[in-house]
Amino acid sequence: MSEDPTPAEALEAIARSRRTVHDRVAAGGWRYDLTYAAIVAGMVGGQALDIPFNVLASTLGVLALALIFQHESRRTGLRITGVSPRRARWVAIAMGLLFAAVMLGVVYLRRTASDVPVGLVFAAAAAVAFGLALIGSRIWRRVYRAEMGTGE
Amino acid sequence: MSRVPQFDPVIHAPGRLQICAILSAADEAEFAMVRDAIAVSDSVLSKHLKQLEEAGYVRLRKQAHAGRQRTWLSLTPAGRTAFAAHVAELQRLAAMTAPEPLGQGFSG
Repeated sequence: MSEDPTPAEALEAIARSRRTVHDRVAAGGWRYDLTYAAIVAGMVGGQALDIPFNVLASTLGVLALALIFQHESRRTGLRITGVSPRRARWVAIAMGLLFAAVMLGVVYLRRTASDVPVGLVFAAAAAVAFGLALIGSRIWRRVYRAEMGTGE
Repeated sequence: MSRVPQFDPVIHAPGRLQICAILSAADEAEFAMVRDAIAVSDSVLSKHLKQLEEAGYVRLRKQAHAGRQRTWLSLTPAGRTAFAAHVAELQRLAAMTAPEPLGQGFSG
């Protein structure tokens, strides 16, 4: 690129730089998404357990999420929280609401249907949360990629 | 974020434009990552960052990890606004200078 790029050259340079960022984030993305989904599954499914194990599941889950975020930041040289990109943040917010809904559903089920085995509730909630987290992560990446491509 | 098109000479220089483009796509980016992405030396990147920092567009944060110091860069709110306005102006100018599309059906 010249020292005084034309508008078209400058826009192309911006798009190229953003592709570099996206490519770094995308590399190893499946491993991150699977780990993330497993942690969320433990947190959500853990709400089926009695006190203090449900609190422990939430606490350990938050710690694990912080650890994989740190690890990913060091690996890519980039820090991107789920709610930072203007459009992709809505995917992250929707995911958070869905996880909260499943958690509340688990708590409600445990209180109203105490005859249902804890293990079954745990497994079902964890499976649902895992699926939602994995699908949500992949959608978030698609929206983020589209956002990077718009030059905004 | 302001979308009013406004050309910004501080951002428009090629190196700084690429730095802002990378930082606009993340909350923070590490110094070494940005240096490698735009293929410049440490000193050249530092010079660009100094200019962006003086303009109030970039913030630097140092963090020690495993006995090694890392520098994280981020755009300030003013930097994000200025970059968005600059991109909007580039898009406006590019649209003005784009060639007229050929008519359909009579070009052959």
